[in-house]
Amino acid sequence: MFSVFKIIIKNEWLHFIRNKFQIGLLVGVLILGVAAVFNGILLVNSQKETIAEISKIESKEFQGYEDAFKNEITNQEQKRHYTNATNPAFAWHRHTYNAIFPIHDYASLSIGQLDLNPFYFRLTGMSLYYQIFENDIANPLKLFVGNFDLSFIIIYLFPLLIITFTYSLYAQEKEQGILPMLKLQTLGVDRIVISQWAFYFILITGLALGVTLLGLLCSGNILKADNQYPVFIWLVGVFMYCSFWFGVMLLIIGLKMSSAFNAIMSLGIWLVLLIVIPAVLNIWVTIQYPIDNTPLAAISRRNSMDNENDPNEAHQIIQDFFRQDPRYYRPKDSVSNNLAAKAYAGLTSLQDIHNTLHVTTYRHQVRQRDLWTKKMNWISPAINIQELFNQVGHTDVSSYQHFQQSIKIFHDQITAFYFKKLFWDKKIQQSDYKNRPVFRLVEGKTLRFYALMDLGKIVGAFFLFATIGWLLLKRKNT
Amino acid sequence: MLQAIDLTKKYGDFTAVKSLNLSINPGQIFCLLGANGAGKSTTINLFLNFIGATKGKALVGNMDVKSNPQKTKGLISYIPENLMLYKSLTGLENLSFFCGLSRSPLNKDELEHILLKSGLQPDFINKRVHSYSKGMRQKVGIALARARNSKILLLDEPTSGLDPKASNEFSELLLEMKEKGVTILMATHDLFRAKDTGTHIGIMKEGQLLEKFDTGSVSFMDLESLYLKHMKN
Amino acid sequence: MKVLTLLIKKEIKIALRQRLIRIMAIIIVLLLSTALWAGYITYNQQQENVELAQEQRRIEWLHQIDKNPHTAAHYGTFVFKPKTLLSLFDFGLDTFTGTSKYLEAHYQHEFMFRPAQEYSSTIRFGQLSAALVFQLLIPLLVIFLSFNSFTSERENGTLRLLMSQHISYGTIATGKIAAILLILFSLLVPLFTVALIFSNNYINANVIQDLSFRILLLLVLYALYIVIFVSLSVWVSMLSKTGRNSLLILLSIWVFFAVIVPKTATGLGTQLTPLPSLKIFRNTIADDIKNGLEGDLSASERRKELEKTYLKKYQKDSLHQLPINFLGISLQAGEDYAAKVYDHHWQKLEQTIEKQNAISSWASFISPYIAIRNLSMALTSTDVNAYFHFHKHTEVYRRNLVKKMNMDLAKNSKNGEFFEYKANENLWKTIAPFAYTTTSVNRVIASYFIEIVAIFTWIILLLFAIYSYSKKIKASYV
Repeated sequence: MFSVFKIIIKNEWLHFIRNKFQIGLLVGVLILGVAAVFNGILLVNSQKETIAEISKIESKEFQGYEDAFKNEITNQEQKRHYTNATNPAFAWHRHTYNAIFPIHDYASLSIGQLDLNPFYFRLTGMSLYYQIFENDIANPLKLFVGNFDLSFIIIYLFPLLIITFTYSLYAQEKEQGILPMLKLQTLGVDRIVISQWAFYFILITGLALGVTLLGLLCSGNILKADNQYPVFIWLVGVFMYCSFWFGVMLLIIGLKMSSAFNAIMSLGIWLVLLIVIPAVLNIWVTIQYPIDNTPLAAISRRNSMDNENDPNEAHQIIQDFFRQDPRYYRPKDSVSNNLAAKAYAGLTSLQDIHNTLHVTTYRHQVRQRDLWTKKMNWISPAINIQELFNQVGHTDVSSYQHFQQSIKIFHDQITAFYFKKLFWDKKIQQSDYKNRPVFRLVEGKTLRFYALMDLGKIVGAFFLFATIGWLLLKRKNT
Repeated sequence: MLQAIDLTKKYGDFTAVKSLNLSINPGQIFCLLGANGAGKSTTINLFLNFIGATKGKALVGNMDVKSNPQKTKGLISYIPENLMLYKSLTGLENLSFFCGLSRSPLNKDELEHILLKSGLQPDFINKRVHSYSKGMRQKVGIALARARNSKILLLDEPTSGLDPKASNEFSELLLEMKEKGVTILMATHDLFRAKDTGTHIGIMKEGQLLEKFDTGSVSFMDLESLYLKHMKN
Repeated sequence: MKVLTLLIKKEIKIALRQRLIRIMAIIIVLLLSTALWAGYITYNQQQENVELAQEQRRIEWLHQIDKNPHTAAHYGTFVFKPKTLLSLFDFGLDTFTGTSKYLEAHYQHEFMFRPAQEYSSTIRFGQLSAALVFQLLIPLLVIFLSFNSFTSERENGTLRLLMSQHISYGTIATGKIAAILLILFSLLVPLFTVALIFSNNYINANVIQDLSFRILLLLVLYALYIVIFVSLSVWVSMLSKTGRNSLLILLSIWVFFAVIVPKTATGLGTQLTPLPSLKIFRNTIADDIKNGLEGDLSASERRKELEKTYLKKYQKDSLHQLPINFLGISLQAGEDYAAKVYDHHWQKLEQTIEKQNAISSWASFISPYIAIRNLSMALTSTDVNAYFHFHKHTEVYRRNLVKKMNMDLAKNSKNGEFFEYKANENLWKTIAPFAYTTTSVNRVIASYFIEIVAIFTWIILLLFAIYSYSKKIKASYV
């Protein structure tokens, strides 16, 4: 059996290397694949550069505050520095922190929503919602067209390669009149066709895995603990996705129609799975879960007191704030120092507290859409696998929502750091800077079980189609 | 070696082959004569097990093709009217592929030798098949039968469309195989070729074998008048 | 002429008898109606939201309590990007440009809330719109209608028969093209006619200029697109030996046009001329405001100069003697200079984006899909230029608002006063409500010169190819 298989493979190899069009196509896709890997890396690198630059600005700023303690104050400038560094009444809204999204090594392979959402936020103790809705600069046309990354090559182009290489198996032999010669073989035509199919399966899936491995190796250390799971998902995912398409092709070949029919049929399926279904799902989700973000716009406003010089208004605000957030409580008669600053701090915090509901509702709506789409992803393995790649590279919507939740916690730490000084009338000491808040992404649950389920759906589809295809092939012609 | 017992094939109401009884022994070339649609090709397809019989049996080497499809296939080689090969492969590569499928132990040199012996011009052996004429492809077919060492050769109008020279060469190859004890069944409407090459002749019409005789027992003139007589009725 | 009519009739008959064509046409009409219906619903939803929000912000602005005008300028207002009526046909970049913006003194905020952020990453597969159907699916229908136009006649031998009737090859080709065009235009023209009638009589679309003319141009645009694909398909069919070859080549071309070129061109564009990140952009602006643009004075120097000028103008020697509040003047001067710096950098940013997109524009010569996509977005006012235009408009509105506030402060209060002076509704009312209209269609056309040239180049080249091949064929093989 094995030697016969070898002969079929050898024969198919001869066909393969003599078809210049197909070779050209394959080489073209491989070149695009490598280009896509590096395009993704360049994009993520430029984001990392921005991050480095921002971090530098931040550490320079804070270094400046620490230095203010060391120098003797001899001039106006130094006095201003010292005030900024020590007086919480200024520091709480002047000190700028950055919440930076930790970009995963494998974000570059599947950029997902990474270019759409800001990946860092500049934060002060002022109203959180004033600071976190503004978008980064982007070319909307580029956002619309989408990213040229490895996931695009795998998800869009590899199925097309698979189609070109396999659509005419059996049909071509039939059309060229070679079928009788094959039928005469003791092996059985179905086995011959399956062997040919297997040859392309190994060839193309192997190449897909090769490009993926190249991408994984170029984008990060595949052995790093953080990367092992994504590496596993990428390799298995690419394998499964290619398998799925080979399954589809076997089913189409099994119908034993003409090669033109096969070509139309398989491209039709590609079109439906990659363009029509996602397009329809996207419009469907828009109608089913309408989101109105206009109310949210209004809460991103900078507010101030009506009259900063009115102590009554200030006291009123501060007491309101203490009622909402008793952590900083002080009796009324001990807040008069830095009254305007305290009132302003209270005001912006109160605003956040009042507006949290709007924001939570909005995020809930977005999550609902995300969940609905996830529920529907079985319809198209393309959506399924794209989401999976985005998930492991942390470029999906839930990763971003995670980031947003972490920012809220971080912002709370920032306000706590300054408000404890401000409301308790303490100066910021040099030693305090060692304990200044640092952004940390809250560890989320990694839903590995669901990821495996998603892969399972694709595997299931593969086995279903491949089996039907094989049975159809075995069926005797009359 | 080849035997049909009450072999019948029906397509709905239409009977393609009707109660055919036939037996061909090694070293015989049996020529089935008849007009288009007489059931010649159906008979061959029944022996090949490409289609199943409605009634009766087709025996190959005393085995029913239906119950022993693998074993019987191993005995047969088949050359259709228009033998098609992979165009992007050379004659030798095609031969080596098909031989490989039937687990032939021959190596490349031996296959090349067989191709030469089957009459393929040496400079064409390593040329791609798309430059071959029909006659050349038929020769690759013969080479394949030889390489597989087939005991039985089924031929469906192998010489139609060949020029007289190529046709003649082909006949000689068949005679050579006959000498080696190969059982040959050939469907044709070329009376002259049948008389010249065949050892036995059968005349088919509307699925029935009307007449069966030794080639030696009739002259060409008799054969022609016999054939025309059956065709007219 | 009679011969031609005969040929056309025959072609239409044959085309309509093909099951595949009928199925495909039904699917396309279904998708098209769904797209238009869904587009209408979302347009209505979003337009209502935007109008309501804009009205609320207006009321809020008018009914804000009496306060210092500069505080009011900080309190600011919000603008929302109105949907243009034609966006229900082509969403264009609307999903990827922000929808609302906070306008306040001193800062140019970026847009908030790109609708795409409210979806899972599936949104990057694209959303079903009528434009998507026209740009991607109709060409496929064209391919299926015409890939076999010559190959089937050649394979059946009817081509020889036709030629022997003393009909020239050119006439046969003309007949085929005309027939396919007739079938497709019978789909296209009624739709646009209904749209035109509606736009003239029933719909009050005040956001978009020249609505009817735009619809007419859209009709012409898509008609030209169909002409390109029909000629391309017929030409390929002429050159191909078999229908299968012709189909395969055309489908490959489709994938190349619609999937590969757009992604790679945009990817290349973004790599060649990268955009700065918001924080870096802002930092540069802040630095330039502080230190002055090249050749300009620094902020403190500018302030001193301003003081001098005003003291000289009113012939006083101290600011307190001025009849105006110098704070208002200096705030406005700061605003003016900041505007100058911002315009300088924004222009650079716009140029960068234009450079990025220029690569796509030139790619129209490789893929007509891109030319059509860009022009369709332009005509529906959902392109990058519409985004720039809206951005500029909001900035003008913001500057006017801030200036009025600052000048009021300068005029109506004394030096050293701030909270003492309060403006009221009379001042708020002087700010006109925010209203937006798109640019005129002439300007749109002017900025897409490359695309327009590309479209006509495609048509001329293809028709020339068909014509010259028809001439050549007479002598040789049919």
